Amino acid sequence: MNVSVEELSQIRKKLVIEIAADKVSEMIEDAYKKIAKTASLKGFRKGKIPRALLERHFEPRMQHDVTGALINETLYKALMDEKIDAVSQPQVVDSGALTGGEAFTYQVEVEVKPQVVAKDYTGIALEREAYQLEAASVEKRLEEMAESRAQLEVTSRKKAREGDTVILDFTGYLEGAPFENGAATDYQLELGSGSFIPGFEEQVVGLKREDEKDIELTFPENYGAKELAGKPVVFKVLIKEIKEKVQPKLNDDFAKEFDAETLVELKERVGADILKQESARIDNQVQEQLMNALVERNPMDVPEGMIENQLKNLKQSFSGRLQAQGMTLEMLGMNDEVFAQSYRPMAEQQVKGELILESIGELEKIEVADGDIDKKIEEIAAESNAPLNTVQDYFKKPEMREGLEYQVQHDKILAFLIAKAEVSEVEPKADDAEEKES
Amino acid sequence: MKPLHEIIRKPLVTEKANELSAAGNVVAFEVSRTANKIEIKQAIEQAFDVKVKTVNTMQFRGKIKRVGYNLGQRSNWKKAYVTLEEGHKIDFFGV
Repeated sequence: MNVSVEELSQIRKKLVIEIAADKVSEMIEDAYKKIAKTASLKGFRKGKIPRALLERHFEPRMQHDVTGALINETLYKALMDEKIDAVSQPQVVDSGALTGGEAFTYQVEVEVKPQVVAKDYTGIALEREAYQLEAASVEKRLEEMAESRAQLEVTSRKKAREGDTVILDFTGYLEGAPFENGAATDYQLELGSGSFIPGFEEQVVGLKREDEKDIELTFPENYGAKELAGKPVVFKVLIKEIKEKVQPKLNDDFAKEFDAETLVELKERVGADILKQESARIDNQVQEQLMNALVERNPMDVPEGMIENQLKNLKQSFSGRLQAQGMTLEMLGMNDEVFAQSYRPMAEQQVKGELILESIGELEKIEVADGDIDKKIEEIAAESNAPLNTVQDYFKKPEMREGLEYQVQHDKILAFLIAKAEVSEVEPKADDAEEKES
Repeated sequence: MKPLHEIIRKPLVTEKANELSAAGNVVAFEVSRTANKIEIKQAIEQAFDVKVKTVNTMQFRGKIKRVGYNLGQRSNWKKAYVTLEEGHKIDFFGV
């Protein structure tokens, strides 16, 4: 086997591989023997086809088999021998014809990781938002918590208002006759939720308990059931009960529901949570700025294969997050193509960023010590409220440990860069940043 | 004489035909049932531009085949083994 390597660009290499003639003949011979056993041809019993006819009829199959086998056998060996680290499936660009007694040559193009030497990575100007915890945001968060614990209670008011929940019976009539699925008893309807046909809820507002009313309205034109769409109907409605949402009072009892002793303690905790979230968000912003700046200062080409891989990872984590909410990518109108289109720049950016960080790690000799990892494990344990030794066991697996090591190194490099950067504090950019977060 | 393609139906490529051609320069054909040896000889000579030494013919009764309940019979046919003069050859696949 003869291999020659040609550099096409930073990220592409071309291999020309030549296989000796006697090896080729031997493979062809073997292939025909194999084909002879199974091939069938009219007028001949299986395995009795004379060689001449076999060569005439089954040459394409032999070509296919032998080429595949030869490439399989030699390509990976060649890559290993030449120490080429392919980041995607090598592409066979040209394979010559296969003839017994002659050498076989084929050419492959592979994508390789670019050799990146990071530059200009110190003294990057970054902006860090100054964040001050405000009492108002704590109040707002408490308010939200109270709302999530709100309960329905029978109201003392007489008339139903928007926002109330009413229990009612109804029967729908189309041209004087009740229609299918048009009736229910003890139906719970939140007024203003828009869950019913437009117009219905509005007409319930203002009714009293035990009230009966004929509600006249017209189904929307685009209603699901064809026979009802666009038709005027009458609903006979009986109001049984009116309930309103009652939020729990913000006091120590409320705090106990959230495992805090007093309201003051709960407030402190909420404040600490908000601060943590905000500083995490700000850290993220700074890191993002940093990465963008790095990528801008270190222009390079990245192999398609790495971008594809990153896209795949992105998609996986994205759909994982969606699945946790009981959704799928398809529900958002996403398919592989759309996803690839909208997230490609991001994937490319990330790949570039990773390569640069890796190179910085090498240049600055930032390494991960066992102590760092132990510390990280302790942090994780504390964060997830898991016993320390369980977490330690979890990260004993080599692949887990590798991932953790990578992450720790990543964090260290980032910390190093931020320390070297020129960070300036800026005022938070109005409120919209916070809105986005929630 | 009938047109050539009516006399010579098709060459027969089988294990036996293959053996015979290797052993004694014989080629096998399916031929018209009504053609006689002389007609076959002339037809082969004309069609393939060779010299024919002898022609052996034989008749075959079509096999009886059944498809479900129905019985049917394949057409009867005639086979000819044509021995060529030395130095003459027919290459069916025309390489």
